[in-house]
Amino acid sequence: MTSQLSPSQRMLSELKSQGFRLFCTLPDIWTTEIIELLRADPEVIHVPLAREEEGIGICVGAQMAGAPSAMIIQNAGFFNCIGTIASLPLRYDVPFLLLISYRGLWGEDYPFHVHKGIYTEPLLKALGLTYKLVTSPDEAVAAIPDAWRLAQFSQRPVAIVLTREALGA
Amino acid sequence: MLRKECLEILAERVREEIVVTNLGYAAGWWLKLKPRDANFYLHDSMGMASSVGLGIALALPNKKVIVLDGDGGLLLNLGILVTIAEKNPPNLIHLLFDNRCYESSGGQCLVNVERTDFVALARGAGIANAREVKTTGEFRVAIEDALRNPGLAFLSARIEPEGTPMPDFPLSPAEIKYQFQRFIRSLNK
Repeated sequence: MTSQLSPSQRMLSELKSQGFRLFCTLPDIWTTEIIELLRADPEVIHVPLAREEEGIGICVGAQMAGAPSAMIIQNAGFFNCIGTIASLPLRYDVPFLLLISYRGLWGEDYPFHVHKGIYTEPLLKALGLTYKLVTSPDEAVAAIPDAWRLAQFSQRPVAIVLTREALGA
Repeated sequence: MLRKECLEILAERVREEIVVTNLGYAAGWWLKLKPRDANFYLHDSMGMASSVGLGIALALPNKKVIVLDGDGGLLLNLGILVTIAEKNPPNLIHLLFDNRCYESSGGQCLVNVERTDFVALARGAGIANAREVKTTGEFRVAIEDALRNPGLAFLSARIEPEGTPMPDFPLSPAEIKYQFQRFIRSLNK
């Protein structure tokens, strides 16, 4: 049964079963399908963003108001969020989930993405964010409950960094 | 008109509404005038009050949420106007204090200080109910209207710089979060 679902469908199903209610997104070509699924899903609050940084504030607000929140962005968008992650969720101890597409690494098709591959993990480490790099749909689905439990235990955002294979793109 | 005068009017009128404040004077005066668990104050994260307020408003559609924003803060996060317009939450009041300077950081001039029209920016983003007020009388009427009626509202209050020292702000982020979470838990009882 699960094998007939796409990687994006499986991830969304797992996120919803973990109780996530609000999703902030900004598209990458690799995350097109999961964002389209969110846009069409009446059971979730989908917030398309103008810029990723604003999503940090939205997730913090929603999370504190009782709606478990996740953000689906490209690693370049994560770079746009650094200062606000440091000053908001990491200062106020607010957990949420960051799902980051890992452009610019192995298998990248475009040369202009490679700097993102170089700086993504160093920047996650610089912020002290716990993260898991996943390279298959099975790993991605399995990482969601684990990451969410860690986020709540630590009261900090936790990131799942997804390769193209993990996203089935 | 001063921000403090507007906040005094708001403090008399606020009941169960959630208030999210920008950092600096807005946080300091609001804590002094209306300390309560239903407030969330930004300590830093300049520009994020509107985003945090939007997140709360979407998670709690039956609660009115008032954001106390500043002109400098809004310029740091101008795209949020488009995101707010997209979601169009009927329970969000985005209150902008427009003093044309970065007052909490020393009163430096805002960029493009002579020409920026924040109401036009909000309308251009798609927020139809956007207006400016210039007197405390107008502010009282406009805030009453926004509180009584459902619908997204953007209200820009043209204020003078305070000219007084910034009020003390003794709360830590941990205390702010704890108080606000206590309020949220009380809603579920």
